[in-house]
Amino acid sequence: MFGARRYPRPVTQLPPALSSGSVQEGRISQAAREDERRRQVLAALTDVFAKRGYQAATVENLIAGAKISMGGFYKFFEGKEDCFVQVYERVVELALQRMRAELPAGADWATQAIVGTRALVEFAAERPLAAKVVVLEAQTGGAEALRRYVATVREAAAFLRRGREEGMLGERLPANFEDSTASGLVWLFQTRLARGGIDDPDELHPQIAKVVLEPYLGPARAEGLLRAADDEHAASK
Amino acid sequence: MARGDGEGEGRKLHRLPPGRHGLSREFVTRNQQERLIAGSVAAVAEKGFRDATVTDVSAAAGVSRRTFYAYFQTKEECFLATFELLEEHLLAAVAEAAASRPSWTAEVRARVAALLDLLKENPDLVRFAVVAPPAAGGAVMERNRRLLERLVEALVADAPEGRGYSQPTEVERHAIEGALAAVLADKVSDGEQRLAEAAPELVELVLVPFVGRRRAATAAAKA
Repeated sequence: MFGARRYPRPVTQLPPALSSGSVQEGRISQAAREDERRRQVLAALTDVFAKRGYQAATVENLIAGAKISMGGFYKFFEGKEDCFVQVYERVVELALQRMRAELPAGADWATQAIVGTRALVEFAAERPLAAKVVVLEAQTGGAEALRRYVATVREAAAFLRRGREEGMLGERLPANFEDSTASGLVWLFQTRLARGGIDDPDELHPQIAKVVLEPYLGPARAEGLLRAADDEHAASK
Repeated sequence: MARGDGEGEGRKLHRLPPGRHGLSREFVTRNQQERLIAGSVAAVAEKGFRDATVTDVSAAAGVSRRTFYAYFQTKEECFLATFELLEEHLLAAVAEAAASRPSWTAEVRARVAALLDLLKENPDLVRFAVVAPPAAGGAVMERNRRLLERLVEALVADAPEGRGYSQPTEVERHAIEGALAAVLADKVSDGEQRLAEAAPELVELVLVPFVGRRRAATAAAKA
């Protein structure tokens, strides 16, 4: 839903014609092992940041939580701030993966909005600690984390703005309407996560989707699409 | 007043004359406390909750650190007291503004105008209450959430029920709070303040969940 966001991925495989056989394979498995290790470390660190808060978490807390050595920590990360930024990016990537996985190919804007918000609500409900890192701790996590957080909210607003192409209703909206909507929705997630989490994703999602769709499609069309999507979702479960 | 008070630079507030001034102890106490509150607004607006120190707050208030500690044990205590007073003022101003208006949407317009009038006088209030809390997290952020909840409740108080009006869902209420915060923060960014121009935008976003977009836009055009 946040558009085509790409992260650099390590090249793990050369085309066969360029590959030099066994040497290359050895490297692949080592790279894969390191990738897996990194993934585990970042997962453990996510919990430490979410539970302690970025400000309160010390490097000692982080290495204890991730079960790595001080040397290992500084091999992976430049310091606490860099560590947080990597944790942040991993959670955003997981959330995006989840959205992509649920989206049918070639989905129109409204479907993307409905399915995408549902994936986000479910992600935040199932993984409150990870969600907390992105929507709450990112604001306290230093300049770079804040920059990325602001960029993520802007991308969400840019996605909403595409709703204006859906019809005439969008023309009446104030210029920075989508910035307000995106901030409002982030605010909702923040409030819920700060106060214990989301235990009612099925009730919450239609309300969120309504806030997203209605300004562009009007109440009746928004409700119709939402109901159809919910039926389809229920049938697929 | 104690000697050796820190000099607040730039933002120094009015000081009481030194020595015996015949002002009652209660008056001095209230005055000092209010100055410390104003000092905490100024210091936090400039440096944020984490970086503003007791020394910064005292200097901005034009009192000594000793005086600070006569009223508050920690800077956090002072910040929360500031939130209390600020909230009280904002809610009172918003509540008063609605008196004898022809319609509920007119009431909401008057409340938004009163809120902005108050904030326009001192944009640092927005920086303290809306811009700075997210970076502080924790208790300050929770206090900020409560302030925004109450503020939105006050802005939409006495919403009519029945034909032509709907009641906002929980999501819509929180969306109003977050959007209100975002608009206010945007209007005091880059050292300037453009709070006066926020009225139509705020009226519209507050009204939409109650009366629908068309009527909200009509009301906003009059704001």
